[in-house]
Amino acid sequence: MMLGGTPGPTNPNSSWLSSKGMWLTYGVGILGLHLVLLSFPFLSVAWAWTLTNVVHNTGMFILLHIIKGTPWEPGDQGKSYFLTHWEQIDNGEQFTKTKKFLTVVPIVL
Amino acid sequence: MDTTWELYEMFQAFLKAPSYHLALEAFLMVWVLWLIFHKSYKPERLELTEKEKEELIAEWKPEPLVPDSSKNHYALKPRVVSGALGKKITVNGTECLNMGTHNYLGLIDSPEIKEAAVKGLRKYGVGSCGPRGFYGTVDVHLDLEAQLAEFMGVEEAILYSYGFSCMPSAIPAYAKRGDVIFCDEGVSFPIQKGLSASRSQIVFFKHNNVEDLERLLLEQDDLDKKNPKKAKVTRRFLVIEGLYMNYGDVCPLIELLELKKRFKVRLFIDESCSFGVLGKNGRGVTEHFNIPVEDVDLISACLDYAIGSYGGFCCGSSYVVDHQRLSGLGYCFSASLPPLQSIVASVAIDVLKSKPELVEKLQKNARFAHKELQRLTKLLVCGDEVSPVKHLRLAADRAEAQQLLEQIVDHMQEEGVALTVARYIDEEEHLVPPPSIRLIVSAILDEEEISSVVSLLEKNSDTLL
Repeated sequence: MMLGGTPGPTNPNSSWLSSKGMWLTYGVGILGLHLVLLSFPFLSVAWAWTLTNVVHNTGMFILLHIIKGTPWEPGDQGKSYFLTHWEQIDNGEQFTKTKKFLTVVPIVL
Repeated sequence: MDTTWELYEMFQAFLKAPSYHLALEAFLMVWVLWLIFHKSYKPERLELTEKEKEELIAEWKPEPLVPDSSKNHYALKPRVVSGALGKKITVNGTECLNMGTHNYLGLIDSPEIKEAAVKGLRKYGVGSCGPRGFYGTVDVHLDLEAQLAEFMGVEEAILYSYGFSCMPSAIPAYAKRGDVIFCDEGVSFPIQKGLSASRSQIVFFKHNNVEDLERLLLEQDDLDKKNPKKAKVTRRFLVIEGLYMNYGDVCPLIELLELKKRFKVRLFIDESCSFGVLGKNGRGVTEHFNIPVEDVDLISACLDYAIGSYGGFCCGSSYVVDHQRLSGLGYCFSASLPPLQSIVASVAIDVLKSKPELVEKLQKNARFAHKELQRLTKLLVCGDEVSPVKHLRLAADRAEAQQLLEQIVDHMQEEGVALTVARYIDEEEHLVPPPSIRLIVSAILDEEEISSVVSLLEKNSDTLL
């Protein structure tokens, strides 16, 4: 964010998902969610897997495709006010590695 | 043994699985592989043959690096001033009475300010060499900000190092894409640049025409009623100048305030020409119209004109002004005002506070000049009585108005009065005002001097027009 003269991208939303180690962290996050669901005694293993899939997909759908804008002051004079997170990733470039990864994960789940 | 049994079980499960399940899994795996290996869309590259390339190169005519300009362009022969630009200036060797620069209160020649400037120079040196966020903040900056806030009767003021970039930094800090800014047509160039930098939707209303503004605000109101969700996130601003540089008239602030309250728009006033000029103590249009300064959301002004320093400031409530400390691009990314100039501005405000008679004299001179200028038959005085900025336009429309006015100015210079024709970058301005001579009245002139200037103008305009 260009607050007060700091260097960096105008909208960090475009690049934080391409950071080093993001794929591993993401996988570990999903694993954590699955382990939490497995720890409920009233859920069978099959249910835990289904719920992991559903919860992850719903959560990511809301965060990436429904919510518009950024939680911080826009550095680009409001261009990202009307864009969803998905559109902001990599400044709108299609089929980048990050986007492919995020498309593949729900399918694999 | 157990592991082979498990593998066997898995194999059995695989054979027993319903075929739709297997088909679905196969489809998903194919899809994943396709996504991983799919390349992004690249449009077909057109390959040119050697002959086509040579043809294109032969056809190409380069555009000149510098476009042609007319031989008589005024910037090719600038009038050079030697010495200080006080009451009298030496233009191209001729000593003239200065009615061209914005030295409204005559503070350029003030001895107290010069003394304070020299003392400040010895203490602080000449520059600050850093933006406010990176070691560029000196105690005199904070003192000046506090002094300005206290003078204007507001909570906080923020100081900019370049007067031209004061309003253009302030407007984009609050107005972004999707917001609406209502702006007077006749605003000066820096404000126009600020409007385009904000990327908002700009709605211009006719100069000082409150009915036009009301009509536009009602239209916006209708649009808001049709789409209340969008209206809730749209911010509306009203940007005007206190005293218009290009026209010399004062804004109808009382009616504009009523519209502001009715339609809930945020009011920004640029008081570059009215700070130190209007009101009993020089506090600007709010004092002139006797309205509380809290009604205005943001006041910005240049310190270039009445105060005789340079730089600019914005003032208002803390809530509004504090935002600019991180979002005002001119504040964050430009080096701060040299401490020397901050001291000059500080002392100038002290002088202004202790001698309100300067402001009174300025307004009296402006009114007198306005009355005297009515004598002119071939030139029309445009501007309010109380404004020190007066625009003299041709009473009858002529084709070469600009050249004729420049001729008058040249003759006046030969006879010892320095005037200027108002200059605009015609291609860049939103609305180019008609050609005029911009005559500046200041507090250090006597009534005889004003009268003699008007008589000279009468003589020259009658002979040349």
